[in-house]
Amino acid sequence: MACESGQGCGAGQGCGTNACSSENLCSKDERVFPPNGKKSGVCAKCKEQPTSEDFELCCTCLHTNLISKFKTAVNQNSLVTPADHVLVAFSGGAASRVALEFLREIRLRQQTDLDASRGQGTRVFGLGVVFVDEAAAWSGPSLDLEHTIEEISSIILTESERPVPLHIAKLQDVFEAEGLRSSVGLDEDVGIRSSEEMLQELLRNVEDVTGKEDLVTYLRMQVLQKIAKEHGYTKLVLGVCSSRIAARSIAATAKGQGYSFSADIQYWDSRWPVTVVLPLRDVLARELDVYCRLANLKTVVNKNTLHGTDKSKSINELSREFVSLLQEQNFSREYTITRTMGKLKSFVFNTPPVGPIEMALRRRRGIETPKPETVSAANTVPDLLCPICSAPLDVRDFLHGDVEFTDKSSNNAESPSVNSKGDLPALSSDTFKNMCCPSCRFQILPKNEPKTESMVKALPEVMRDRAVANFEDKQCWMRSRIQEYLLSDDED
Amino acid sequence: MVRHCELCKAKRAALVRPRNRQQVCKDCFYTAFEEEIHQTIVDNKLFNRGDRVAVAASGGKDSTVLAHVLTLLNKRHDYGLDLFLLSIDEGIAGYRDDSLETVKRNETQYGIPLEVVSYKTLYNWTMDEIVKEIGLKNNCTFCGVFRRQALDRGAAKMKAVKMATGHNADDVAETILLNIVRGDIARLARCTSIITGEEGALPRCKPFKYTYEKEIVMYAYFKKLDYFSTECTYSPNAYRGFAREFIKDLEAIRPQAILDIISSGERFRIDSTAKMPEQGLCERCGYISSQKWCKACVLLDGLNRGLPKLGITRTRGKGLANGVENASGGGKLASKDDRSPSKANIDF
Ligand SMILES: [Zn+2]
Ligand SMILES: [Zn+2]
Ligand SMILES: [Zn+2]
Ligand SMILES: [Zn+2]
Repeated sequence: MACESGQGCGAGQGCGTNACSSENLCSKDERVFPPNGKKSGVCAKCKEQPTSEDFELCCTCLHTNLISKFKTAVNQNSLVTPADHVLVAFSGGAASRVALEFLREIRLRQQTDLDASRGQGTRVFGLGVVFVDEAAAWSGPSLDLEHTIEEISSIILTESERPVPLHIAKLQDVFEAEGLRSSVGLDEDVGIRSSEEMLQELLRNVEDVTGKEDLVTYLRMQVLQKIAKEHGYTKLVLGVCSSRIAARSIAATAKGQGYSFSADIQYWDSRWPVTVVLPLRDVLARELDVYCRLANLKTVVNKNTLHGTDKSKSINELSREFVSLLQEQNFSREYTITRTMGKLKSFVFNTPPVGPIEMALRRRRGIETPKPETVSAANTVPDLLCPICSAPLDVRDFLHGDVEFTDKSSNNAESPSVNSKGDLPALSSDTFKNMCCPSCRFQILPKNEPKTESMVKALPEVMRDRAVANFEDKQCWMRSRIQEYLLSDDED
Repeated sequence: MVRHCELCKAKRAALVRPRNRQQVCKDCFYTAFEEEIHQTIVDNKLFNRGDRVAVAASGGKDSTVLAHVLTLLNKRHDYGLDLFLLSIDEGIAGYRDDSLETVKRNETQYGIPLEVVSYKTLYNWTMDEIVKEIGLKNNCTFCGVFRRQALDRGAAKMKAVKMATGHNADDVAETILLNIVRGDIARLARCTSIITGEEGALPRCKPFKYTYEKEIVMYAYFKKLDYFSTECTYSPNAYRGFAREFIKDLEAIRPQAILDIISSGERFRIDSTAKMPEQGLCERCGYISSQKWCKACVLLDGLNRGLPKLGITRTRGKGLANGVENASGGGKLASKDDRSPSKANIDF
């Protein structure tokens, strides 16, 4: 088609990308790992230790390499400070396993140093682990949950002299404390349902396979936040590595999440009640897998996530396959993708606060500290997050959102019953839809009216509350724009 | 049971629109297809009344449908455009001869004039001759660079003020993915623009930016448009293939995904620092270029000196080879040294 279309380069510039049979022409500075160094069997770094699994480094050198990347990420972005209480979201996989191990190691060293110096007043950060069981979302009864938990407990609790608390949660816990209380708008005759039933009813409303997978991810985050908040944690560590980010970049692009995606892949993300941090952002999945095997770090295969949905219909899965295909062609591909997406502008909540000591240190090292964007309070469009996925909303959708839907909803009482103070206000399903990002509107919320309504009612309270807050912020902002034309302070 | 058209509710549905899986009759499809393009043209102010517009015509399906639809909309909505077809003769025996015949028939069918510019007259090389020199491997690099310039020169010669190309939504989505995968943030920032080269003499626009490739084929098929469907004889086996496959798979799962990729591309928050290197003019031919010599001149120089790999092969190291690599960098985000190759680097 390149030649057939007769119009040259799709990029609109003259490099002949259309044709690039040698894609080298367009990419510079690629660090290509030799897939297999000629001298197999000896570590490429220390040149002494034997290697295995076709990996270029020995266990010791790989450890040094990984933990230095980890520490750099942690220190340069102040991800964990001594005052922190850190919760690791453990999935059983290699990434979160390594994150846990490294945090333990760092903490142990800090403790030893502290003991040696007999320092008073300083302390080391606290550590805990959470596992969220998603079985109810996919197959109903938990397969082997007891066994899984046993294995996780053995990893978490045994080997360390200072035990780390383990929290086991279920995905349906997102509805906890809600089941008994019937909120406004919920049919009276629904009665008391178990949170598991509520979860399954919610997911039944989502037809799109990708949408369902994503909704489970969003719910999982809400559960993690809930646990973190309840137990007084101050940071939530996710084992998101470079390879995951690469695949998610492609998937997010295909889902139309281009505007908000950069928020999800930064070291620091404080849009949640408990700040989320990604210390493994610069590490490849393969490195983590190999390290776990070489260092005998036990991982747990979470069987429930394996057979949930029809993977062939999942954009997430398709994107993963696409990226791993590219990775096979070129060993630095995942890095390249992550780096590209890393160049996208992040959001205000992605900038860690910088203390005075860190500031001085940075100045000495010549690291520039980004200035927080100055916000002029009056008339600025409010920063709203999607109630479902928490993506920052693009002003463009925000402004046009109404136009798309109001013609249908004009007779549908746009304003929610906010006025009756004390009660939980309920939004019409159209208004709720307007408060969501385009991606959630498309792949999670049902297309037709009655279904949307039951879906919105089935969402957990956190999400519904966010929509109401969004609506109020938006009303407030709109009011500020027409303020001078209003004659009385009445709402109506 | 007879399925009725979802739009007019009267006629029998004849097809499923690839774009949204709507079941519609042929007439409603034509109207929707044409009016969506009209909307794109109006919303993005692609043309002004009185513009003389070159329609890049290769004889392939995209450009044939483009010529047809633009002629039609120009009349229907009274754009007041002075349209003409512009075709490039690369000098590929068999492929181009046949496709040129198609374009010539289009000339009479649509009643708009045709201008043909050949590689031979512009560069003194036909594509067949180039392939003889360099083999089959990198010929599409030449083709892409040469064709682009050839179109610009043909259009300039015919006093066009704009050029319309047949890039469709699938092409744009593919380019976005490729730029992500290659790490080319500067191109990623630009590749979604519906009008490019506004700073130059001849802006190019893509009226099909939101039009699905499958719908273009469908339109051409039902309207029985005369187009040339063989792929270029030297068609690349390219890396692009992966991206194309991926997009086809995506489309099968979710047709909307193509538009969503474009929407993502348009909305990526890219810092203005990642923008284009400054554009200057080629010292040799005067064509717009960010380097001392434009890419066509570098490639051509290599050909004429019997070193056809110049400007293609990526070479590490310093000296001459490095200079050539820089010169071939085209519009890529270049480091400071790339932008000002010292005279010593390129020894002509
Ligand atoms: Zn070693
Ligand atoms: Zn959302
Ligand atoms: Zn119809
Ligand atoms: Zn030139």
